[in-house]
Amino acid sequence: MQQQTSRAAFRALRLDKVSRRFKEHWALKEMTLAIEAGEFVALLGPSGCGKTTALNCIAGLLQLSGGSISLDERRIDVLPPEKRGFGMVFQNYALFPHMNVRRNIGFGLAMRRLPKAEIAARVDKAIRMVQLEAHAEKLPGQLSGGQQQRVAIARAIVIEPPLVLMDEPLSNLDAKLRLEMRAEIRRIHRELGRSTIYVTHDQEEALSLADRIVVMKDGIVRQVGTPEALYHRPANLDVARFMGFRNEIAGVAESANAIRFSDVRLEGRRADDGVTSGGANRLVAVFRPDDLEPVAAGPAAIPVTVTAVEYGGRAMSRAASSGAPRIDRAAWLALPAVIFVLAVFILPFAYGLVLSFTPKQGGALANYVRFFSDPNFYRTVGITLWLALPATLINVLLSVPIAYRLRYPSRSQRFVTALLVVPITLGTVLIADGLLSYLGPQGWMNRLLLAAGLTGEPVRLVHNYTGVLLSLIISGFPFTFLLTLSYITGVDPNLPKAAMTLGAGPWHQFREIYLPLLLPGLAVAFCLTFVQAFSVFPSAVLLGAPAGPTRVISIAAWQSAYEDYDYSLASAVAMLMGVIQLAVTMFVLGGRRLLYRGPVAGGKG
Amino acid sequence: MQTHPLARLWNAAVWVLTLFFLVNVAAMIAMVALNSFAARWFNSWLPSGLTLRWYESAWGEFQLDDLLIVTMEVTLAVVVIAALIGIPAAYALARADFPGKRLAQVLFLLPMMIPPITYGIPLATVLYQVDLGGTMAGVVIANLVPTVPFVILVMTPFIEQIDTNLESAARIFGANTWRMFLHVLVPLLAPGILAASLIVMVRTIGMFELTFLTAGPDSQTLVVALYYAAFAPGVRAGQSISAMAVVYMLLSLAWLLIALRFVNPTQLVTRVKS
Repeated sequence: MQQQTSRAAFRALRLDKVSRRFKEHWALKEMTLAIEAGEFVALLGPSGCGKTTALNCIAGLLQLSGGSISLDERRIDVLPPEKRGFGMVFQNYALFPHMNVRRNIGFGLAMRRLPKAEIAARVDKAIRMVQLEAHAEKLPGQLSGGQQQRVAIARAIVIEPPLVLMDEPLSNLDAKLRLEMRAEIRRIHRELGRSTIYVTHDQEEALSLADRIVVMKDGIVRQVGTPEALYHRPANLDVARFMGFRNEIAGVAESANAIRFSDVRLEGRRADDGVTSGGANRLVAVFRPDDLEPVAAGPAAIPVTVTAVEYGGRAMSRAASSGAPRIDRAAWLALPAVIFVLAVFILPFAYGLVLSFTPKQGGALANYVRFFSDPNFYRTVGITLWLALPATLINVLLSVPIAYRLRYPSRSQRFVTALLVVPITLGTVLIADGLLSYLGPQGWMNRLLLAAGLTGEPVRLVHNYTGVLLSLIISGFPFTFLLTLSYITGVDPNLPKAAMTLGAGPWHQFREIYLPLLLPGLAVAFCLTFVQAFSVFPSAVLLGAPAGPTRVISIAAWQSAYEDYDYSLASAVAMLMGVIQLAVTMFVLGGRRLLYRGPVAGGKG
Repeated sequence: MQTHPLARLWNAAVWVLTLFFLVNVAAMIAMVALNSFAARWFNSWLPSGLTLRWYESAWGEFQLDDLLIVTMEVTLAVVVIAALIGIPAAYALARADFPGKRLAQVLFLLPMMIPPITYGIPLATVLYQVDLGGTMAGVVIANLVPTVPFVILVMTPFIEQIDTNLESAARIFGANTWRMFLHVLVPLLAPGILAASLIVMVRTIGMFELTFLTAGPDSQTLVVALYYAAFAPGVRAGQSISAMAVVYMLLSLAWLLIALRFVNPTQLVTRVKS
């Protein structure tokens, strides 16, 4: 199945009345086009003309609203992108930031489950082709824009696709590099002879690269032709304007090929579709600036007045951004906040630390000795961990599939996320109070269990471990979920698209792209959820058994301070809480070192 | 495009899981709300008869009007002060380079990474030492500890994405710092300030631990009073406590609804960038 799609040979790709609508707007209207094997076709037009829509429809990244696409006799518009086997080069490169150049290029081959030796050989060949031998082990973030684009091209062609799709591949490069890469693309196309569809808004690029150009405007194909045909014989005014016919003179039609403008008769070639605006016999004559020739006044001359002169040379470099060193007086604006945090956070912490070493009685360490020798105290650590770790783990494991399912912005995503914020705003006290009645012996949960015959008598769900665990899950899950969601939506959406065009199905998109990019974020989410769960207080008191099985560490700290007025001991317990939280955080984030930690967006785009 | 049956099963399972969670939360809230209107509710699915008298009794017993006034006073003070301290600092972090910038960033992150109950006890001890414990000022100061860093965290990327050329342009056309700030920065920052303030508002109304540790009898907010009421059940009728819970719920949900018009739900939690 994979083999047949990556087979290079085909006779023609046919688009038949391909249309795509976004809500009320038709981005692409009945596009019909046939592309033959080996051909280089450019889709050219201003932004918003539908050329990228057309490309995404061919790639399978957008579904059609009408029409069909077929490769020879086989319909392909019903196939998902990973089954089409086309290679695609994205505008922002969409290189997988966590894989080095070699793995990026080999990704599509790995998805096709080719033998390792063959993958290595083909990747090596592709790397040589784009002249990146010296950079094969680097990560995309370490490469320049031009090098990244070479990797993107190599990644698309190494799978030997029947068709290469390029979406404005040069528009993120500066003018000099753009010319170099243009030559490079032409060379690769000549060497490999792959059919290519190339989207651009730069007519020069299209004219120099393509065998045939498709000019588009407002979702409609306005003309299809060779560069020469388009350049010399545009079919209509839109194409003419796009091809550099900058001068327009409106006049009265005299014959099929001539118009009269004041007392001058202009002869020329009538365009194929002579759409006129000012009545049936009004026509527009267009010509290029260099079609004019200054001559002495005479019968064949039109008198003109020069009002402006524009130099035609091309500026190749952009204005440099100002690199003047700034005097950062603005830095002082941070001072109030720094003083504030030092005064009300660091100072109390330091004070508490000192206080914890100056106990009411005994030596400096008396509080800590007491904590670890009194089972009433040291057991709290175990109890709290035994609540916080399972609750955090459950929340992270629940969050990943649900957030992944809701990763694309949509009505239902917004609705569900908004609903999930509610438990956060209600807070732990209200959740504890609510669960007390909901899970209590008279509550709906127990009534339901009894009515369903799942239990003979009310299950004890509150005033014990279960109640506190459930409240930790309810108050913690939305928090973990929203964190996870924000990390997932932070992944460049072009990366899974790129993976799709290289043959990765839903599982591999998750396994190879999302998961590795997400793991560092998940580690952070785990830590933040854990420290919240570890400091559980109101629900342990209200929903648990605060004297026994759910006497968590914060209860011990609170009782020391507010019931025994032993602030020194309370500070010691608070410091121990901090130390344990810090230890778990360090442990998890330390493990994160083993993971990819660069930017999650692809390339520099 | 066809979906694999296994994928469809998985999707369904994920939806069921989400729904199960939401239904249970909704049922929990519904039970509290229903209980607050219940004339009598014992050993049955639904209460027998509805009444409003628990609200009347709750209003008197818990002095809800005083609680509401204190809650709003504390919240407003926290929002204004957090913005005044936090936004300039966010500007400094977004625009300026200075020695110790990394250290300042870590400093601002710490109060958000460490849960309130851990630093709340030493903080309360210090506040009682300087005679601020149990006062309104003490409650406001304690609540500012996590909110000032929060404002900084939300506003820094917001300021970063404003083109510095706009500020340069304003200066080139003759605006001094103050006028540049007033005419260029404030209008551009307004959406961000609004979002940050609303989130701080929602979080402060719901902040239990810090207020609980620092408040005295006259500086309690609604959520702390609710805890004390729920902590000593039997002293007051359960329905009365439920009525108070509903008032608290309405207050926080009203602000949440307003906030959600302007902010993305994910902004309500702290996203720590590495």
